[in-house]
Amino acid sequence: MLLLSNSKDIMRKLLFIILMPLISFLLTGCFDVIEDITLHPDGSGKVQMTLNLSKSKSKVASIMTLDSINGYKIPKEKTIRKEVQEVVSTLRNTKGISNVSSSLDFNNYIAVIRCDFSQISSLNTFISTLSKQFKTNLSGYTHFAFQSPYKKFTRKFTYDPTTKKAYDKLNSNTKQVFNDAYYTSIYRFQNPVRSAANKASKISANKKAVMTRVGILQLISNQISLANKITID
Amino acid sequence: MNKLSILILITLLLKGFTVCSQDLISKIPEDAQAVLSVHSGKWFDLIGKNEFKNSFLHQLLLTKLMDETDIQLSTYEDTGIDFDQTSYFYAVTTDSLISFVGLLPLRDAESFGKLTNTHSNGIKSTKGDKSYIINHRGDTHIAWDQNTVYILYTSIMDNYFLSEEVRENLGFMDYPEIDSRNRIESYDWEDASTEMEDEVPTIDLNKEVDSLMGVPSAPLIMHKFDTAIIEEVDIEAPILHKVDTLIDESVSTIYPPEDSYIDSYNLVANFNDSLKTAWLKAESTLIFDELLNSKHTTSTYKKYYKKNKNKNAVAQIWVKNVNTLYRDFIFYSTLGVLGSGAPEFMDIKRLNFGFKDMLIDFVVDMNTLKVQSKIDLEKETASYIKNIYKKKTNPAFYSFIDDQDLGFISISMDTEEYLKWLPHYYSNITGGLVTGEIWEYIDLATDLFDLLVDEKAIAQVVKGDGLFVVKDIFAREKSYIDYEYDDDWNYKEVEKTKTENLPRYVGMFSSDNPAIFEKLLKIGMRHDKTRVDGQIYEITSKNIVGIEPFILIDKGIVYLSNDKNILEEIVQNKHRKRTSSGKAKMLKKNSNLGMINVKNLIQATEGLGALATKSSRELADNFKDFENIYVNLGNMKGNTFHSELAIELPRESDNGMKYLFNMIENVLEKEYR
Repeated sequence: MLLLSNSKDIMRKLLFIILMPLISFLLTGCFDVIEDITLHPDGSGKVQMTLNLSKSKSKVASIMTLDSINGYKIPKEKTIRKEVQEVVSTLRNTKGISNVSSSLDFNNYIAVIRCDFSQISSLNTFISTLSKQFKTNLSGYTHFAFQSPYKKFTRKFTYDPTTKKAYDKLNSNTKQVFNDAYYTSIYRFQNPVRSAANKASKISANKKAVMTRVGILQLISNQISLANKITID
Repeated sequence: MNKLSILILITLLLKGFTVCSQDLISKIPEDAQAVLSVHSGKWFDLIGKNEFKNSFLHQLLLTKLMDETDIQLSTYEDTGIDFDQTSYFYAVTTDSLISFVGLLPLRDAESFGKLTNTHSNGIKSTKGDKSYIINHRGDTHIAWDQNTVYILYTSIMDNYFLSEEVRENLGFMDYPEIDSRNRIESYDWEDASTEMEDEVPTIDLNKEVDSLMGVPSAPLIMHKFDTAIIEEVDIEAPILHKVDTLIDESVSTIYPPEDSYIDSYNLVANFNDSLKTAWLKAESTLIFDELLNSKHTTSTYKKYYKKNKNKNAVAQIWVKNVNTLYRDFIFYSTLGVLGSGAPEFMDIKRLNFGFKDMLIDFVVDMNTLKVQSKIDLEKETASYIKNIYKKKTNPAFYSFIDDQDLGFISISMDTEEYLKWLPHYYSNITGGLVTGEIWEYIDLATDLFDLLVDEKAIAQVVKGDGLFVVKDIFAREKSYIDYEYDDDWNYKEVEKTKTENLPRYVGMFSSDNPAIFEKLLKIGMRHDKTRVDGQIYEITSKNIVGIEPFILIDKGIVYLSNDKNILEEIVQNKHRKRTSSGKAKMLKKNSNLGMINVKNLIQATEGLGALATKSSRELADNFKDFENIYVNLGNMKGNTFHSELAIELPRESDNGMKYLFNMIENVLEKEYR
């Protein structure tokens, strides 16, 4: 079986090496990041982060057959599973975080990590753990705050200029991946929302959720912010 | 970019491509490692002098040159350079320096001299009967007499300064100890930051350093160089005890530890850099003087050039001993094994890849641009390579080549001969790389490889010839997961579809013993990894992209294709024979050939709206009229390995160079107008 598997991998890699210049022009790429937070009145809650590369799965699958592209090392499925497992382990050992779970779908290239948090500072720990582990800072420097007596939920967002610098270094074909990429944040509350400060935010019909959907390219170039101040009744 | 650099750049650009003057070729020294000869006369023959004079590029270059020199020029000929003659550019490397030299023939020295009159970034003087300019850094020199412009640019090999001996001889300072770093980590920045705002006096350290280090530190090191050079360097000596004082008494007490460390480090770095600069100026001046006074009459290059002169070439590049180039620039940079940094058991200079001299000709043949290369091989290597490349492609492959194909690549090697050569090749490399006991183990390993590997048996399974053809591009529907949100921002996964474009291909290779592949595929069937339909196998495990192949083994050929219909046609003997294809005829002549049909490729991608990015669409627009690009991947003639890249351009211009020139004109006009 090992021989069969190796032969198959070698053959696939050879095909991709020959066809990659053509495929990279033909296949498009884009992705979605969804940050879904449910907040209870006592500051506890649950969070789910989703990375969906399904729309680009052909491109991702072809890239993942290679060891590196444009000087960037391409992680193998095994490495990604290991990294996600490490995050899950770290979170499980983090005070204030519980019920940690994850799912990885390598047919559609969708990754999900979710957990419960006992207080808002634990939510901040969750976000920083993900950023650190995956060495990415698409959502800038994020900090959540919840002032329970005043019923104000705040997301502070500091633009990270290094992200733009990293983006500028990419070749035009790789940059194209960000053209149709979106960051969606959804915050859910038990009580109705009175207002949301971010102009890109929309309050749901039942008034208990706020969604902000922005283009990742706009985030990278600091044209838009994820910062928000939500007042709850 | 300073004015001197711009002047050099424009001079080189105006030279464009060029020829040969016996006087100049005699100036090229024996130790030149690579020579570029530019036959601009040939280039102007192809473009037409008047056409060039009326071109946008000509106006653009003249405008830039006039802006820099304040001299009125009406044509490129006013630069005084003789564009009917050949110019030469060569490189010489030593363990300490790399030098690039340009030798340009002059028609009117006075006109050329005017170009430098308003030059403010260099020091002007004379050297014998030659006018002379050196830039302030001292790494670039230009001189000219009635017939020739001499240009030298030198750059330091940083590796040279890793040697303790060199650093000591030149008087380099040691960098501060890492101890100060440790102190940084324990420093309480929170408290310090508020104190700092009030207490830190404003001291411009850069200014301090500049005043101390100033221009290079000549007297300190100049006694190690030729005294004649010292006179030309009018600079103050750095006073070392002042540097020490600044670091010990002033900086460290004023600034917190991190600044102290960084500033100390910067002081030393600046000081050492100034030593390097002074050393470079002295060394490059010596090299330039030697160039001006040289009386070389014959050299390896001159002999080689006479023997291999190509009247049709617009330019030629000669590389002396590719082995050295490969060793120095590729191997070293890949492994990071540099000079004194190499482990003791390595003797890198003994590395032998079997290469000798290489020549690359840039030729315009009617509407085809050709880059022809030939590399001389050592006798033993040549003998192996000849045997490897003597094999012809399986004639059955020819029928898969069609004039409408988007591209193909054909390789034909003798697997048995290749496997025989491999241990010899690695033995040659490692024999140079390692010595002593380690070499004995590697030698044993290569012998064992030779003994254990049954070359004949492997060659029966994979004979060594293969063809891969991209037939066209096809569209297919592809599903993906997206999200649908309700009014309360709850969401659910939904499956959607989009159209993707993929290449349709067929690949094949010969095998006298394909049973091993069949066995593998049958084992796969037992584990649900493959399935078979008639004679055609399909890999059933993850096939996301759509280029994973169906496999057919038929009459000693293993076929792969992502289109099952192509393989079914072969099984049913319905495969259309296309032996009349012009490209198939080319393949018959040369078994190692690659081809891209640019026009068909762009038409196919545009037709399907398949070009995914703006840059790919722009690229396609620029090249849409190109015909075919061929790559002759190599064949042996005597002990020389030949290869060729040929780009067929549209026949709408008199020749390929003219078409390319017009294309560049259009791009420039879009960019600047």
